[in-house]
Amino acid sequence: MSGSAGRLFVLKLVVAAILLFILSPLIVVIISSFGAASFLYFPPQSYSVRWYHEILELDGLGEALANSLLISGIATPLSIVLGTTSALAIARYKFAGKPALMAMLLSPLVVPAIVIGIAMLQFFRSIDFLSTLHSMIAAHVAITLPYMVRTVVASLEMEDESMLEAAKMLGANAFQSFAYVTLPTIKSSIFTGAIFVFIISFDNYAISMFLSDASTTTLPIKMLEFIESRTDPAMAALSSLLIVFSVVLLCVSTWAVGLKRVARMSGG
Amino acid sequence: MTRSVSGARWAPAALAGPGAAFMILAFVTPVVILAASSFLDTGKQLTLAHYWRFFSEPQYLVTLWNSLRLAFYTTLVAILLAYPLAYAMATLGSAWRNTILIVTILPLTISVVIRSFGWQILLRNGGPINQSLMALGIIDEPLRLMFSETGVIIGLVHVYLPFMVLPLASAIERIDGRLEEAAMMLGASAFRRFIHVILPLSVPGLAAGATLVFTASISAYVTPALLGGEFIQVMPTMVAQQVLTLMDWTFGSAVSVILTVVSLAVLVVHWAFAARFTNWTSRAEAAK
Repeated sequence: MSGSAGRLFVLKLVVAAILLFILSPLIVVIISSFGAASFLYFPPQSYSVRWYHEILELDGLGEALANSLLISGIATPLSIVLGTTSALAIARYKFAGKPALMAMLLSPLVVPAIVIGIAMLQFFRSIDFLSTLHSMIAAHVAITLPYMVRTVVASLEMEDESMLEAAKMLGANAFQSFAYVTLPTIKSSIFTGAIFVFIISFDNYAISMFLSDASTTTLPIKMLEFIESRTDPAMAALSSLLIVFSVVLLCVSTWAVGLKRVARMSGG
Repeated sequence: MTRSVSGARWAPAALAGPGAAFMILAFVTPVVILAASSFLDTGKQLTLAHYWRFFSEPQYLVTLWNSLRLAFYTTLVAILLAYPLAYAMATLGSAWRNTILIVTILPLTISVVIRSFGWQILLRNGGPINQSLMALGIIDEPLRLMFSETGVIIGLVHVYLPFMVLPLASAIERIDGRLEEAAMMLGASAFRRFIHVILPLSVPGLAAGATLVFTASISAYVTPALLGGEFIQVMPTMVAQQVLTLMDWTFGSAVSVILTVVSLAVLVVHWAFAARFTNWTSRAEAAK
């Protein structure tokens, strides 16, 4: 069957080429970050790590990073709590208005980000809730909630009901059966959900752009400003660090819950 | 799955209440107000003037057409790239499967700002793509890849390819391997096996993926703004321009509503077909 072996080889070659396409923008950013010249070349003529030192000196970058960590660091636990309680209501109970609740919780996935951004800008401005980290945190919770709800609902639907019955018969109250039966089942989904929520929030540009001002600039906004105003590899160096950070997060979550779950989380 | 836990009438309300209240305040209200303001004129009277303006100016219709065209090409290219990946995931064994899965997911965790930056380096006139094409003598002068439709499509495909690969892979994995073997034993060529076995049986995954990619790319703002610049106007960049540069909030709201409706329409069509397809397959299962 040499024909079939040949076809297999062609398939592997095509797959390798597509994977290279996917990785190429990340690879060029990492390679160009080691350029010594003060203009970004790809490939660089000479190599150096100087840009990794120079990003420490950039004005406003540290504040933007601190803002981003603060916003995502507060939005993530809020999204976990609101997402998990809503998911429990949806997966466990029958009640009027459930489809409407589900639709509302998932709707940020179907409204274009730019529309959400200007709607929130207009509304938060009209109620004088702008120019603070609060409006930004509220926005980030709203757009990440669907991911949390979806993941936790999916794992609650796989929960073993007889365990809950058993807990009830043994006299466990609602909180005990949550702590000892439900939580162990859903904690890995909450964990993956939380990592994705943090990433989605930390990387968000389209919505933060509308709600931020000089004092609440986030890292992606500041980075884009620098990308547009600087021609040196400083932003490539910072981007490379963030790429490494993403790879580490992806490894941690794969190690914790398995690749299949991580894939399901990102499968839209 | 659903069952009522004894006597706990208050429980669903207590559990769902905070999330629902938060979403009504922070999401539903702003979006509803935005949609409502698109039907008001400066004197707060009801009007369809903003919609009339959109649909009577060729310039705006061209923008809508740009959006639809770019989303269509992006979906098409994503399908072409996703099939080999999804097929390889189902057939080449776990090492390939995991590699493809990790490489597909990784970019999702990296900011679109960084990814567009990478494409800017790759696509610019003195960039590696143009340089190698010129070194190979394929072209004499640099192709215009940045600030062009091609650049935007490349960037969009890169951002949304995972949404195509993952549903398609799970659809192809569910196909009974014996069907392909049977077709092979009956002498069907690889091409015919693909057309008559893999393609029709992967339609649910294809439809789900295509819907996701189309609606996501028609709504995308950052990639067209960074890779297309002023040269490629699409609906989301037009919304930003109307609101941020021209300060025309009401017209910007009308454009937002049109964009949202177009993207929702695609979803609704998909849901309708998906429901019909599920009915059809479950009847076929029952008939067996």
